[in-house]
Amino acid sequence: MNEKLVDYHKGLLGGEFPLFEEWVKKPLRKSVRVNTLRTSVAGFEEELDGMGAQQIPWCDEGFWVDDKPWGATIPFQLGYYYIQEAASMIPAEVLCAQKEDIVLDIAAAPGSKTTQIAPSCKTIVANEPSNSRKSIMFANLNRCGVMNAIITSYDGTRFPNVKFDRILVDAPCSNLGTARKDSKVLNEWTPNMARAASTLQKRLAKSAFNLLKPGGTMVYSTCTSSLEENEEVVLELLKDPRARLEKIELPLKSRPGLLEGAEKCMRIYPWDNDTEFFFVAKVRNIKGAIKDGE
Amino acid sequence: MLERDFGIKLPKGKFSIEGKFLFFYTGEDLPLAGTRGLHIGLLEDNGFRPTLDACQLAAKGFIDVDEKEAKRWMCGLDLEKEAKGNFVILRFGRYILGPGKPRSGRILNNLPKNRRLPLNYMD
Repeated sequence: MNEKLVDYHKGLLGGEFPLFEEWVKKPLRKSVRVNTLRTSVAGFEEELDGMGAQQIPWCDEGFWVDDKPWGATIPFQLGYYYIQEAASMIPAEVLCAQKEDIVLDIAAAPGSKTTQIAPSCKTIVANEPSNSRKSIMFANLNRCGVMNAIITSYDGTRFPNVKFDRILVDAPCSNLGTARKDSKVLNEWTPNMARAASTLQKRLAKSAFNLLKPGGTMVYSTCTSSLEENEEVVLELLKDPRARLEKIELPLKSRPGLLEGAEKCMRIYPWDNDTEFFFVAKVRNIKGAIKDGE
Repeated sequence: MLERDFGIKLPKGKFSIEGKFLFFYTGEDLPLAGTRGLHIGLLEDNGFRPTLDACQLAAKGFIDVDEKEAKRWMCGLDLEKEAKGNFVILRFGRYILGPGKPRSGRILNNLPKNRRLPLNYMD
């Protein structure tokens, strides 16, 4: 673990820093999400039993499973389930897409959240500017049988002026949260990486917010811990008078945002729920009607 | 033919063609450039071949295989099996293993490389 990372996180986490040191070294618990475009959770119960499945409390279709290569099975190759980290199921749950919604996933590859949202909405636009990442997403969406998606490859900061009911900005980030999956990041991460990512994240979040219909909901998420990439981005977004930060309620342990004005954001630490790091914020465009009584 | 022979019923939506690839899309028509919907088939010189993912919608007309054959198939290998037609759809229990091409007492494997299991899966 490099010195800059240690110093930054001692400052950020205070007395919890020893937990950080301990938990980033623990291997990530495996988890899958049942793809309801292929089967139901009840219809997949027998297979889930064989996988040693335990329900993930915040996602009805999500399960922790035994530590085995679940990507090398017939049902995986046929799209019955998606291998997805438990915390990465949170943003789509917070977005809470409805049947008639038109949804944008502005940084969508490899498609885990797109495939999670697609069964709930009318249309989902899965945007990914990188061609190689787009190919992987195309394969994943097809494997899961998604018929209601448009795969686009726009620069997310200059997306065409189409309006959406809900938008997910699962922003490209410095990825510290993935340390339990790949420890390389512990040697490579620096505060400068977070600052550089923050610049793009602010542009992306503001651009996405402008695509939201009045009353629409945007979820901003990252899998990293820094203030620059999380609370600071949300506070920048909240300078827009149409933007209002909403409270998130899900059955899991989380921490409030660490900067004043961003307390309704959700920080998820690995030692809270045995997951990756995650950050989630829910922002509403309050200009106009509020939808579905949320 | 897909519905008559295999019971494949598509919901309300639109077809589109990109090169030899046929897609089916059920969402709203938005003014965006991109690929719409599920890749459901290939338009070949000698006819149409559904994709593995289109075959997941099939309800009848399967050729059932046993576990050993299913594993062999999912590893990308052909099966020694008699069949007729331009293509057949294989099934193992509840799992629809996709289309294959009958030829001279064999069913030729069309499984895309990125959907194949490693060969040690047969062990």
